[in-house]
Amino acid sequence: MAMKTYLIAISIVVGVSASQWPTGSGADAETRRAFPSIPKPHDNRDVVVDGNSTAPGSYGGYSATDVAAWERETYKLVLEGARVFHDATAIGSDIGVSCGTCHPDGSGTHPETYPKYQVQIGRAALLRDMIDWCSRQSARGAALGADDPRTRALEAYLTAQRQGATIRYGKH
Amino acid sequence: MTGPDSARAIDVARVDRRSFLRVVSAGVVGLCAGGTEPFAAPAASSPGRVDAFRFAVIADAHLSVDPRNDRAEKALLRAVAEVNAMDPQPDFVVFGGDLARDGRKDALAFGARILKAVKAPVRMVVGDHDRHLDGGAAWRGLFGDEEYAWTHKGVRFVVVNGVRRVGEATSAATRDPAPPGPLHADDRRRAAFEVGEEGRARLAVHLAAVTKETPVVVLSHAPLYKLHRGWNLWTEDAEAVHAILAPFENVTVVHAHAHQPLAHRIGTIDFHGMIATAFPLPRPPEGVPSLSFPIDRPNPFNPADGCGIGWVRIAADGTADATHGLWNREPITVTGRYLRRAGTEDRPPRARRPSY
Repeated sequence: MAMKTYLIAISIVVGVSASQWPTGSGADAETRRAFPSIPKPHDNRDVVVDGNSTAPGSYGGYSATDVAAWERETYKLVLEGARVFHDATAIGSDIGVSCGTCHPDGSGTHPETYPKYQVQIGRAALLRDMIDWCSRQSARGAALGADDPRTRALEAYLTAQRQGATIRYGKH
Repeated sequence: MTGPDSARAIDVARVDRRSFLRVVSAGVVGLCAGGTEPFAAPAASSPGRVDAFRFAVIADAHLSVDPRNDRAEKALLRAVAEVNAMDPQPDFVVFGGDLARDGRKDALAFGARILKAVKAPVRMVVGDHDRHLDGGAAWRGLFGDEEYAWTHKGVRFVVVNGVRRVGEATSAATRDPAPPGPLHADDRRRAAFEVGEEGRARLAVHLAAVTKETPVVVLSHAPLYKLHRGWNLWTEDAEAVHAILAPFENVTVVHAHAHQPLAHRIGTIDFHGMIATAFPLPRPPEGVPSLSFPIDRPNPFNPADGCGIGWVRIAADGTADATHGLWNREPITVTGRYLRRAGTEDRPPRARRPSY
């Protein structure tokens, strides 16, 4: 009886989890259609081991479902970044300027060069500092705080677009 | 006849014949209506030596009426002031398209008022943003026909609408609607550009007025070649357009849209891509012609950097030298000689540092 209840609970959890990311519908699907070239996150299937494995290490024992969830959630954040990036209203620009207006496909943002000292900002800047600066100054949009969901999504998208670039922090 | 050249000639003849009569008859109607820029062919002029001259180029202002879009407004005002200060004055000023950010009528009218301050005659080219909302109706109401031609000091100038969307002539669904949804501000998701069958027919009519030795300058917003489809730097029917231009010995296309200097030569056609007043764009990830040269990366903290005005000098032999008058920087001149000698002579200064 206890085992049966346990299995039902598992089924409910899996069902809820799956419904959070319906495939092929919703805003994320539209974003994926609009920007089909956004790279997928790193393939982590190499950390999947059999559920009964006794392999040592903190990455032992993860299932294919776990790894799929990581990819799904990470990619979801990146796609949300793509949506925000190409939507002037999402960043509060009332002059019709989105991030993508000046940076098509995230070009010219070079997230791999941060942190770096920006004289104009007066400190070693992170990518999120430039996102905030650009939103306010170039798009005449909202101030985007470091923990603003839009900032987090934009940072994710810009990083994803530079998949494979060598990190050269501090580079001008 | 065999071989690619003859096949191309046959193709052009077939494509253009279908629209030729319609276009000519429309041109006659335009003349009768007293249009100031009829596209009907005037009497053919005899080839003669060109009287050297220059014209100025202002492009990609991306205005909106919102007072917070002050940078775009100030940049266009600066461009107008600088063109008015040119000494000697240019023979005319080409506005290369994208006067308005999103094609709103009030923004276009705002731009028209600013451009009225230009002392020299202004020749307008329509841009994709100008046609964004209504397929160009508001633009045409202010500035007239999108396609026209004239001859100036021995050079044939032809303005083309290079920003029709593929299929817009035949499909109501693709006739330049504003894309739905929150991504409306990003124009690059939409169909590629084409001059289109009717546009090509008009181009042919405009060129029929002159001999093949007459220097030709084509003014377009889009580059009229295939550069990078993902950023809408792409003319779907580029080859058919080039085939119409191919018989002419001396052709230069002056375009905007890329917001950066571009240089190219295809066959006998020189291409000069001019800079914007509103903002620069990064170098496309693919398709940049080998004759194009990167400029040093614009400084995002200086919104005027990477922007500016341009001017084109037409020499006595009909070749065109384009100068990019970058604000904050030394002007860069790309000569016709540079293009025609495959970049071996007159090389413009290169960027000091590679881009990312």
